[in-house]
Amino acid sequence: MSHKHDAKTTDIPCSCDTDAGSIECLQHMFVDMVQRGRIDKGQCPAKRPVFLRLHGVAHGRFEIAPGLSPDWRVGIFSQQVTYPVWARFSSDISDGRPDLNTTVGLGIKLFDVPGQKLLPPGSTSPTADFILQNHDVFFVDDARAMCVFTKASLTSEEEYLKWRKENPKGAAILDAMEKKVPTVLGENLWSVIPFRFGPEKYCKYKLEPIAPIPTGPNPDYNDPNYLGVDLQQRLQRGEARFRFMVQPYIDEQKTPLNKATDQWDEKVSVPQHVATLTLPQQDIAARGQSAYGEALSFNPWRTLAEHEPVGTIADARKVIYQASAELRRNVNGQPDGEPHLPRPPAPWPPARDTTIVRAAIHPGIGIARVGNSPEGFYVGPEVIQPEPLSAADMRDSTGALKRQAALFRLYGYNAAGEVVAELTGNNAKITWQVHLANRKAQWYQFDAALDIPQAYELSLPLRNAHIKGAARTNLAIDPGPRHIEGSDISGPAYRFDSGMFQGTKVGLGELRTDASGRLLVLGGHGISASPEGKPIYDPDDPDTFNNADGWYDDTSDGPVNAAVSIAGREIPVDAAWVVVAPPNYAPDIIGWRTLYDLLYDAYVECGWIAFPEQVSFVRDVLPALQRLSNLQWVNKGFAALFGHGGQFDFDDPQLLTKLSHRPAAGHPDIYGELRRVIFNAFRPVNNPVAEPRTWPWLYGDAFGSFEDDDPENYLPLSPVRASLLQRWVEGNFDNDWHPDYQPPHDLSQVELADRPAMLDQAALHFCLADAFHPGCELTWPMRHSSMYRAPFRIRERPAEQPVPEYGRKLTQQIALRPGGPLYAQGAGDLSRWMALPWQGDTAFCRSGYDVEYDPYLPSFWPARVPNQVLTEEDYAIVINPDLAREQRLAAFHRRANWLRELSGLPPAQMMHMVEHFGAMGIVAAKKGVDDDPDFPPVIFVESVPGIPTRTAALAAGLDKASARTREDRLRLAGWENEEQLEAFRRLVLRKRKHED
Amino acid sequence: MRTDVLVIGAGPAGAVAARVLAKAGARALLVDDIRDTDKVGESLPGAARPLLRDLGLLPWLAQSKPRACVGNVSAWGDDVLRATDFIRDPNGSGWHVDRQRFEASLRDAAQEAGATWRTARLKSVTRDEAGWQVQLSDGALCTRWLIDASGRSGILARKLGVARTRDTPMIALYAIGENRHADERTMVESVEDGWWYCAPLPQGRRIAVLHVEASDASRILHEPHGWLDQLAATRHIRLLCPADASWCPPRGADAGGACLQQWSGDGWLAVGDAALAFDPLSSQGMFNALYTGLRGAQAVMGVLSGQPDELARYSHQLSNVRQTYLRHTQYFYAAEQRWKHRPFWRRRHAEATQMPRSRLG
Repeated sequence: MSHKHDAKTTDIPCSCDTDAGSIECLQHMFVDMVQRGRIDKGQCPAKRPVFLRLHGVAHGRFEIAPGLSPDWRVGIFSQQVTYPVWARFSSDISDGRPDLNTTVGLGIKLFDVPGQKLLPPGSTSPTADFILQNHDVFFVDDARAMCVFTKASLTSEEEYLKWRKENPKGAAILDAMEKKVPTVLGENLWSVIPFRFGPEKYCKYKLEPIAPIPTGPNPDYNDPNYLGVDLQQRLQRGEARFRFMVQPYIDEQKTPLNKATDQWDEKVSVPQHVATLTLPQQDIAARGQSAYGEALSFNPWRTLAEHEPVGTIADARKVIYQASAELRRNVNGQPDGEPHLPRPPAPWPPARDTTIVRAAIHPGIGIARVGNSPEGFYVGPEVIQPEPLSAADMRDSTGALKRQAALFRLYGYNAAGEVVAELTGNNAKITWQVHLANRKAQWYQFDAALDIPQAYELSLPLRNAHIKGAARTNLAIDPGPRHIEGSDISGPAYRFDSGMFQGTKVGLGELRTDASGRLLVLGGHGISASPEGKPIYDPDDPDTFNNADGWYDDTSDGPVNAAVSIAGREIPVDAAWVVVAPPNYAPDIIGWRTLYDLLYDAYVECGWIAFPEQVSFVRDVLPALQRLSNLQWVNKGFAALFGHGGQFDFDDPQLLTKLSHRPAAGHPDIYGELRRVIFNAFRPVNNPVAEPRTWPWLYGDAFGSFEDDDPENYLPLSPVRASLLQRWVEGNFDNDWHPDYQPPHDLSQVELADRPAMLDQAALHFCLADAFHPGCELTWPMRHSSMYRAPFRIRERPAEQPVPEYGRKLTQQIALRPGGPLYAQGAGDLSRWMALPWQGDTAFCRSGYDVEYDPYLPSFWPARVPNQVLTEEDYAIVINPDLAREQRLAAFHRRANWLRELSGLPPAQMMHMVEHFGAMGIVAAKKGVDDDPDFPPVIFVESVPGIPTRTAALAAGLDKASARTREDRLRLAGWENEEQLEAFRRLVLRKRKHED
Repeated sequence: MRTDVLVIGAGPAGAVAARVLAKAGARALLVDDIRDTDKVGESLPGAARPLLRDLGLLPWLAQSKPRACVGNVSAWGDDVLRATDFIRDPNGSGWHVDRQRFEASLRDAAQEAGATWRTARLKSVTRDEAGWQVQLSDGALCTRWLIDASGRSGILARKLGVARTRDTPMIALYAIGENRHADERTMVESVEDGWWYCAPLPQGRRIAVLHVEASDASRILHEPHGWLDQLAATRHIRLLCPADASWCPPRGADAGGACLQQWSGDGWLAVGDAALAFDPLSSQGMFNALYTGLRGAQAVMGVLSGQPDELARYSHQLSNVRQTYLRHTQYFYAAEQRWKHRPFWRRRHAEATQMPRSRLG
């Protein structure tokens, strides 16, 4: 009984001297004042006046206990063996108040109960109700006392307190009724009022949970709806069973019939188990289930005559419950009456609101790539593990590289944020708008990531600094936006062909649509040039590396928008962004840290994405490990440890079975130490020491620009990744891995609801983020949450705002300030930080001609493998089952160390040949050997230039750890001698800039 | 008759030199006896683009209707085909030219600049105070300067008695046939006794070239289907170049590297192959011809206007080119170890170890 009144009135009729008067009074107070009062204030739907907090509605069955003696075979307990039931768990608390410390109630409606019932007008309905609550006594004895209490609590706080003082027993019971309940399924429940048990006997009912109750997580008492949440979770995991017991009347002293505050001692009157209530495993949130239970009416008088309720409180309930049910149903427009048949328990398909109220373009950040095939293109990856692309997929018949097109899709969402459908030309009218621009020549030079602590003294000048004022607008290639609509559209009107670099036309690409009206963004053809014939690199000025004055390239980036209307109605659209990047030469090999990882970490750290409640082995742990094994194809150092047959081969199902094994409670954690060893092998977050030996063996952002012993030289785990792995070490994770796990290879294999997120992830999964020098597709600004307005949504500067300027020099302070260049973005603002031209990395090889004309690559025809990979010859040996096993093993472990053959070259030239020499082949996955402990099932046999070959130098650092002579170690790593290694380091480690 | 500069040889080097001289105001005469035969050597790397642009020759190149070359594919050191894509080169794609048309175009460009060109052969040269007395097959003339642009034969240098260093001799056995494949890239494949390349040519043709020792060359040419048998034995080349009757009879040409011991002297200077000849593996021959045509002509102009230092600078430049070329060449030949006991490879590996090692740093 809710004693906290929320209907106040000074005009309460007072006719509590008789039982009948009390009942009339109570009806007036409960129904007319409390219930009607709330309805008048707008309560919708209208609810019961008491026990209105619904926790959940469940279906089940009520089975009469077998072997009952004839004494107990009364009424309901003598008829059917099993009755279908619907049950309603509730609390007696008004709207807006939390579940904690409330009284729990249960209404049970039995079906298929033949016979006359006591409650007209539905006397012939085949239903019968039981009502119970989780305390064994009531706080007032009878209807008259109830009336006094109710009047006091509705009058004023003062009156209520006065009642408490005058009725200490009732007050104590009221307090005891506010229990801290961990789960409704664990509560004992009592009928509180007595009933007849046949013509001559009486009883009360009790319901006891039968252990074990279904499992669930610990209740979150801070959640105001925790009881409903708990009930749903537990019933989803298992069934709940209860003993329905009849406690027999003995006499008026031990078991009084009209003193509801007196307890019937269960040792004196022992309850008898007469039936079992079973609520099978189910989802109480299934469609329509709660609504069904809420619309039912539970009344203790809806039963056979053998079970007639006894006492004035029962009399009051007969009237009040019926009146309140009638009012409730009339207000809600529900029929007033009893169902004939129970609702079938099988769940109905979930409701779907198919009204699209907004749309979003996915992927949020799409990646296109330049290519020199005039017309050929392929669509960029839409899943994170697509079928491997063959070399033929990426080249046209003349051998030219195809462009990668970024494909954008529109998804429609309902008001609940669920994906309803993909929007295409078939079900919507779509007009796309894209704006591409290239602002590299207008921006500042790249030297190092500006957001690392070591960069605080950096002061970067503008590129093309000799061009000043208004003339600088000619340095930006800005063809403006283009629109496109319809299906299979392409043509000159959709080309970004009007942009100019200092008077020279530079094409940035074009828009097309596919057969369903989806957007395809194609970039430039990889053309870079200097209209004035300026050199790409001045060896006397190392800062020109990646910052060539007077040069342009045809990469770009910019916003992707769409105007969408469905059946003539416009809906708002979440815009996206497209980046046109250089070609990706190793599409099957993923860097250790991808751009997706970087962004995901940034969003978790700023709270936009919740830190996962449950660490998933497959999603959160496995990538960090497996990518180390992926890099075995790049470098001998990786191969030895992480490669096939190495100690930490993370493709080995046996190792993965151990690492994914989740220790069961109470069992020893046999692999805990192994997990800890692996975790400790990773470079820690905020490492104070430069530690090349810890994992991964990859360069971090500071390498090459700052001190030798700078810890930022090497790549650490991100704080988010470290936290996830920490939980894994502690054994607190979901083992969702199994050896047969197969990821989707195409978007059609992904559930519709998951496709938008998959598109967002796949686009960025293939972009490198290991070290930003400045990188391949995008660089360090992308890890700042200020660049975004939502996960994977770039914060777009309104078109009417002028392009901001930041002065002659860019410092860390200017770059990182709010409202600065890491804030709102316009077309060209993501790619402006990248190398200019992007091919500038190749600007080192010299053939002896003077600087003006020296070719950038040696013109020699043969391509060379830049690192240590499995050759085709060895591959043929490996897969040949007719050869001796030793021979095959030797072939597999052989790596051609081609660096030895560069003896005699000046180290500067040599180093750059090492880095950028030919061999820009496309990696192809070839079939390996099945079911063989020594050979993997898939082998990559071509070169992998995407990862910097500076890892060779790092491997030299690694070998210091082993006990060999220095000379041997250098040679192992591929260096001819100390001098070569030093010359490499001198060239790459440039001095820190000083301020002008 | 008198002229300022007589350019002997009207290939790319000579034509470029003549054009540069004429544009600078000198009287330039270009002589050659052109034979209407297919020359081997068709690859111009994208690195030539800035050169051609500065020479104003891009429209003339276009006039000769070359094919764009987007990259190379090679099987070298192992039999995996690997690609080099010129999209990675800031200068972009290269070209496969029709030599006859390209050279004709360059000669037109030289004439457009004011140089004179005529068909004739050099018979003799005599030094005098004013310069040179030259006897051509069609008459005599006086000239202040001579430029030897006569290619590998190096006519002038020979007449002047200037020694030429020859690297290990190599013969290119080449044939031209119908282009049956759309791939625009140069393909290279090393084989047991040498190496192949093939490339598409303008006008639907394709060239295939086998590089071998001189002794092997005679033998292959004398066998009725010697060259075709060699072609059929390749792994990759034959897929672009089917070994059938569509090829014209193969011819041989000198393909080894070579270098004058002195690139200029009193009143003379060598450019192109006459100065530095390259192993075709370098794909550097035509590029160097254009480059030395430009720089050589500029050096001569410098001297003619009283700056003799220009010659030393020119020689220094060529020396750098030669040294770098040697290192690269030795590197690439050393990268192929599969047949290191065969004479072709053994000799080139040996040549490498005899090369003086340069100082590090």
